[in-house]
Amino acid sequence: MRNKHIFVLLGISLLITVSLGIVIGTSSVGISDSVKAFFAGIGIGDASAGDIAIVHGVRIPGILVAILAGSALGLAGWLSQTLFRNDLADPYIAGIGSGAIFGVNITLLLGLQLGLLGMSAISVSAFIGSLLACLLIWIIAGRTGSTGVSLVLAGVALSFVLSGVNYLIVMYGRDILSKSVFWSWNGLASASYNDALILVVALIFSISIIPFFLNGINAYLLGDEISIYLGVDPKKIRRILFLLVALLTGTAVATSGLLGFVGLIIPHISRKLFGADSKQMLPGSLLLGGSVLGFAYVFGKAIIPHQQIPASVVMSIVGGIFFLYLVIRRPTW
Amino acid sequence: MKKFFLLVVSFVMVLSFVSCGNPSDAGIIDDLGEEIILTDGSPQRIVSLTPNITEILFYLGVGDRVVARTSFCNYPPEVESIPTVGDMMNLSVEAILGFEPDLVIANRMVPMEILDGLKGTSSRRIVVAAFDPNSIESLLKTIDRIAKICDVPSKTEELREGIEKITSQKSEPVIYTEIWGDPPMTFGKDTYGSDLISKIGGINLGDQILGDFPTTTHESIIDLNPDIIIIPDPYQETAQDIKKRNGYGNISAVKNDKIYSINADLLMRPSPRIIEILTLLQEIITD
Repeated sequence: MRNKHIFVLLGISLLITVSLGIVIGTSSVGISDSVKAFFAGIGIGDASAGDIAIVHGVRIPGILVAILAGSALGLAGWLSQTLFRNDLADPYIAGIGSGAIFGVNITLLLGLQLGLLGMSAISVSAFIGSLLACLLIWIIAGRTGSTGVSLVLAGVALSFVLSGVNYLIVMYGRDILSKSVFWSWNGLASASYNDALILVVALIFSISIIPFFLNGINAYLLGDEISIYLGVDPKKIRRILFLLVALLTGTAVATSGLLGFVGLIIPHISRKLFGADSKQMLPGSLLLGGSVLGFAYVFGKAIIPHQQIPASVVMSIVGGIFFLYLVIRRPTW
Repeated sequence: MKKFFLLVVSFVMVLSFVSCGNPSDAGIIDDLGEEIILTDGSPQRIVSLTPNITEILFYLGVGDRVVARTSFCNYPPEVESIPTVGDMMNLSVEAILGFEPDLVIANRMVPMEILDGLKGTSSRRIVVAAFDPNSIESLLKTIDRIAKICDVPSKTEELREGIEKITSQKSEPVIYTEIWGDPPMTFGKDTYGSDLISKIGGINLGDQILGDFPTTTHESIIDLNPDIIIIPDPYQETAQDIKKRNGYGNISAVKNDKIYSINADLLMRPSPRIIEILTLLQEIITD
């Protein structure tokens, strides 16, 4: 019962975040003009063409992609903490981040034209890079029976290798450093409806699959042996979880750059709010992830005129401090 | 005691010699605020660590003294035959020392460890200077200072005359120059590019944004509504790509088809090719 109230509150906060995302921006278009432009864009009333372009062309896709990417990462965070049975795991632990940067760097270095489905070459290469990293880790870890530990170790090792290679590319490729750094921190800068659509597809796919495995996931969390005893094949659950983490994180990375910390912090807060049961964690991490990242995105627009402090930076600073506060207040974590 | 006294006296004398220096070199201060002191006459083996300095050296007619350059140095065409020491990202003191320079000219982008390393490690004295012109005037002063270091006539008078002839437009169009599109990045107020634009009578859109090379947002570009958009050549996006961006259809430059592609080196590099870039910009603004 208590949870229902919290979910309603989260739903409302999501709506508030969307509204803020529509009325707050980096330009001089103020709140009342934004509201007018919003309605004019859907055929109610009048507004200047420039304001409509800003609200419907930039602000709405921006806040949508921020929220959807936050949901995807919140979900992926919960799934990877489940996969590794470790509350310190986050989706990037599997080498996904450095894989994505590697993809982007290679594309910039070779000037590959990889644009696909309305996504830019950089987005596509980030997606491919992160998926290839996952695949490689899965193959390597699979040789030792793909336990949680072997997956983490393979991921960490691959991260180091790719980071080294990434530095080499940056050393010799012209102008790659600034481009790939800007992309990874500020991937939301050119968010489009197309990005939002891609995230929606990945989220719907994941959300519709997970309910079939909720009991399996609960059993899996108790350990491989107990899980087998309960009739759940832990390897199968691991495969599904890994696939979903790769898909969700890869999509988030491709559409919005590297948004660290969301995947780590969201499941923690969600667990505290709703309890560790998978039935609560699924909607909890989705709603909370969307609200938090959406809010960080809007907050970053409101500080310096004409400039956006990337959501990832806001998340790292504000989110990090908030997380520290939680850790201090509740030492049992 | 007497020995110690002698030592102190000789030390003071040496010091006073050093501080006197050569009167003809007095007053050459580089952009790191350090005085450039030439003890062995005018430098004959120069390593240039930035493309605009390489251009300036050739302009001054001392291109034949350049023994090494960066891989970014691509003008004038004669530089092709000069060996490279890498670029900003992969410089090493050892590689530079290998060319036995007596003068290394850099800018503030070059890591301090490299500059300090060059001053400290060699048994021979290497003069190290850094110049970062960020306006037309500071470019001309940089050329003057380098001419003085190389002991050649500075030739800035003819540049000044050329610049005088450039007239500025009265209509004051807002010009947005895109360095990178995702996130949009441009040059800010205290930069060479901004000064070029104000010289021809334009208003640099980036002047309103904090920072020398600030990133901004698509939203603000739509709102600040540039009359002219300039993209570098080569660039990963075409004018068509830019027109197709969300919300860009309302920008004056897009509506009036005023998106121009300009040799990025001319625009970003404070060099003696200043008349060429000013003329190009003037053509664009009156188009």
